[in-house]
Amino acid sequence: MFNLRSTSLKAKLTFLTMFTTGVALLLAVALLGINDVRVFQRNTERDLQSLADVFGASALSSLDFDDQDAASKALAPLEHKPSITAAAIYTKDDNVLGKYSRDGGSSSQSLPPRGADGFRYDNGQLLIFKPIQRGTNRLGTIFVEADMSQMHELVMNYVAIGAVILLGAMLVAFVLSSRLQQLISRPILALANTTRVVSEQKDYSVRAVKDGDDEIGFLIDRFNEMLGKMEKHEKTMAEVNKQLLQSQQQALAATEAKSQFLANMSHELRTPLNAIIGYSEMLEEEAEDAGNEQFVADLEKIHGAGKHLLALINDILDISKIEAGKMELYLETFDVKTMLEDVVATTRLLVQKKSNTLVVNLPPALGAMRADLTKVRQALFNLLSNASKFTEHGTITLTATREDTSDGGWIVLQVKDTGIGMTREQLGRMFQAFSQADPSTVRKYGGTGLGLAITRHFCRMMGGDVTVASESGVGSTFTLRLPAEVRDPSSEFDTAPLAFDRLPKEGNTVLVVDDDPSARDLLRRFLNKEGFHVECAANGPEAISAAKSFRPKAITLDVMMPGMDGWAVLTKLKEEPLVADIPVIMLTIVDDKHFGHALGATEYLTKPVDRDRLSAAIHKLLKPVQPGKVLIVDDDPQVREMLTRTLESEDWAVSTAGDGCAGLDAMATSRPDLILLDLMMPRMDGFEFVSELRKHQDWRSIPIIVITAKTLTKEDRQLLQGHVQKVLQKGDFSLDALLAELREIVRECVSRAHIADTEVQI
Amino acid sequence: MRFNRIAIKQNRPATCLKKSAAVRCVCGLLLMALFAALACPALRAESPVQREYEIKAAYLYNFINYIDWPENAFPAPGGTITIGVVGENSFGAALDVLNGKQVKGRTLALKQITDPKDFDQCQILFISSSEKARLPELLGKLKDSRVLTVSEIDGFAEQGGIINFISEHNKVRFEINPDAARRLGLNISSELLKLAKLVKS
Repeated sequence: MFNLRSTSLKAKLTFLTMFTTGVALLLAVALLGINDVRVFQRNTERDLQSLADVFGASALSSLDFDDQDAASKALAPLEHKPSITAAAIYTKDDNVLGKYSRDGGSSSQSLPPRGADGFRYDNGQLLIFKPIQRGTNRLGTIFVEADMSQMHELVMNYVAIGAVILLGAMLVAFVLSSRLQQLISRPILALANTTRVVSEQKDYSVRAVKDGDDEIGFLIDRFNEMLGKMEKHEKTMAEVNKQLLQSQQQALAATEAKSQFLANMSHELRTPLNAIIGYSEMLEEEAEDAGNEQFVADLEKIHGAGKHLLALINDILDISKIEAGKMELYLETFDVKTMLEDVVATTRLLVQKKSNTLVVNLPPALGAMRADLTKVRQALFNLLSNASKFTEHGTITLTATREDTSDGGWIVLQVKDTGIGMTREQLGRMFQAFSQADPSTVRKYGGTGLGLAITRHFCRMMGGDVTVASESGVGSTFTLRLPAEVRDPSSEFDTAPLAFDRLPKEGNTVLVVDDDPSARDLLRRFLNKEGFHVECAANGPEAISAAKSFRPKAITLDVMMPGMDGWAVLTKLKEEPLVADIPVIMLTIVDDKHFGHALGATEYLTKPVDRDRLSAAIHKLLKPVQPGKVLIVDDDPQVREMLTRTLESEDWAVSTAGDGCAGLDAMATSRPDLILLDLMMPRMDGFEFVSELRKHQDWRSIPIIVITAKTLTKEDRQLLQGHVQKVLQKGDFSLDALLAELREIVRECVSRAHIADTEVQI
Repeated sequence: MRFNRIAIKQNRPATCLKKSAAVRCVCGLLLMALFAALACPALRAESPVQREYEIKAAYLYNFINYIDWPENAFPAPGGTITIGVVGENSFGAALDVLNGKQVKGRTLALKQITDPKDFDQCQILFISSSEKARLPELLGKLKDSRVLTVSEIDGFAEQGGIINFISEHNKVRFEINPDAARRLGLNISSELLKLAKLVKS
């Protein structure tokens, strides 16, 4: 059974015509046939009846005188009637008096006994028994039998004729309908074709051709009308789109110009400030050493003013970035407690300035959170400095809590002070940019009034918020509420595997072999954080081929795997000369250390894997490197000098360069173990320098630490991603802090020097 | 349905057909034998002679249907048809049953004739075989009577009688002398003539 619904319109129309014709003809032929057969039957019956009458009458005398010969003779003329096969005369006593049979006397035995009067069909024969009467006096019965095979022939004839007619008619119907169906199908098919052209080529100038004024004609008219409208709309849309694109490009260009200006400004403003702050700090120390109290006080003021100015500039830059929609989230996972302690340490001096006491309430288990660390720190710092600014001889309380909810939980940070507080009216303007509680406050307390606006914006960017409750004269309570897992819809690139794929493959790759995807993911995240590039394999064969192609520094190998288990993989690895020397750390729930070591495993850890143990195990495999040569590339001679002093005190051999080109020259003479790099430089800037560096096979693995006054955009970060170890912001740290940080990073880099090109962010 | 049956019949093997024909043949013979037995006078406690006369009586009655008498053969219009018997009446009760029967719109009557003068009162006159000797005399007297003469004496029809019962294969048949009938103005139906053995004077 074919599906009529899915065939073409043409076929449908042809089929319908043929089907209708066929059914009508079949019905007609059948009815005609049945009628003819019935007429034939009736005629035969009538014939038989009259025959019985005639021959019954002629047999009357033979009955009267019981004359068998005469009776048979009376029936003899039936031989002229071929359809009559047998006949008989029965006496009153139902004895056979005379008989007739078409095939001669032989079959006289086949005469039936006298039956009831009337017709009877038997074995394709029509039988009649009819009384022979004189008046009402019954003298006997006549029996006549007619052969109905003619009727059978008639029916057969009808079937044959019907079949011939049907076949002929269907043929004619097919020919006619395949021509006539075009009347209906052609315009529809043409319309369908037009719609296909329109939808495939998106060409709205095509028009369907109209054939007549029927419903299809109407349809085509409306369709063309619609096409016309669409064409017009298309044109308008294209124009509008063009205009939009133009204005968008203009707007983009404008924004680009603005953000470029902002980036430059941040650089231009911070660079001189950096010198002011740095040198005033150094001079202060020297003056202190020289015992020049007068100078110390003055230099302290210069230093303080410089820092204040830097804070103001940072605030203004932040708020303009926020307003330009350029502020971006930079998500990373960090320990909340460490972060809080960090902030508290930086604000302690500020708090003590106005004789305030800082009380910190931290629950033991705050755990980690994933957010923009810098922004969280800045938000909290703003709140704390705000509190200490408006409080004297009071108490500032920092309370941190973690709320565990189904959507990942929240980190709540509360800063409560016993300061001047705010009125309801002041509260309303609280978080607006460039507004403080009162214009007079600016004069009295200083500040730009941007801190809280920035704080609120940062919190909202991360999916949280900051709220305030305050009573004038009693104090204020600011509450930061941030999701423990901040989601950045625009991009996530800090710990996403993709970013790490861009790391150079050689040097610090660890191959993780585990059949459980979640176990692989867990190890990958952990090892990524530890600064390793991670390749994964889900089974034995994959692991062996991955080991050969990546040549990892180490392999973590799960023991229980379907198919080829860890032991088999280990044996196989140790058989391959190319990868036999790669240390293998077995991870398993089965404690069978001896077996593992016997097969050549370097380490053997049981699941669940203790991270510190795994980390220690891997680091143990990597050789520590002694402090060596460091290259400082910065166009600012003061910065070069400061850094040189610091590093030389740490026993590093320092060489310097004023720009990228000079840096490359310096590299050519002596390969450093570490590079400190500025970004904004004449001739060749830091970005170019990095990309040049990456072209050299030898230099690719040298760790780089960026120290810049530039505010990094997302693009900048992506450019540097995977190529530099750390980015330090000039001016964000006091020189001491900067140097301390630097020392820390240098130490870190030394320990990891062998695992080149680790990704670490501030 | 009927055609199906034809088809079945056609499909039947020939042996089967023959067998059924044979069975039917046997059945037919048995039936006929039974009828014959029932018809046998001996079984009905009747003498063959009695049976013969019963048949002859019935034939006498049946003749009336095949014979047209001229109008003047009847003494009165719409009157009776009289069957007269001359000589010894061998019919017994067989003839008596006809008395009073209606035929051709007339009532049948029976009469024993002794006096030739009464001949004209009859339409049918049966001359018993006891009168064989005086047959010529009787026929001579009946020469002008419009009476259907019937007898059972050999040569009766040849001698001028109209119908004469004869015995053929143990069955009662009859001879007719059509000329004699025509001479008297009696019209005998061809149907009856067909059944009879025709003789001439």
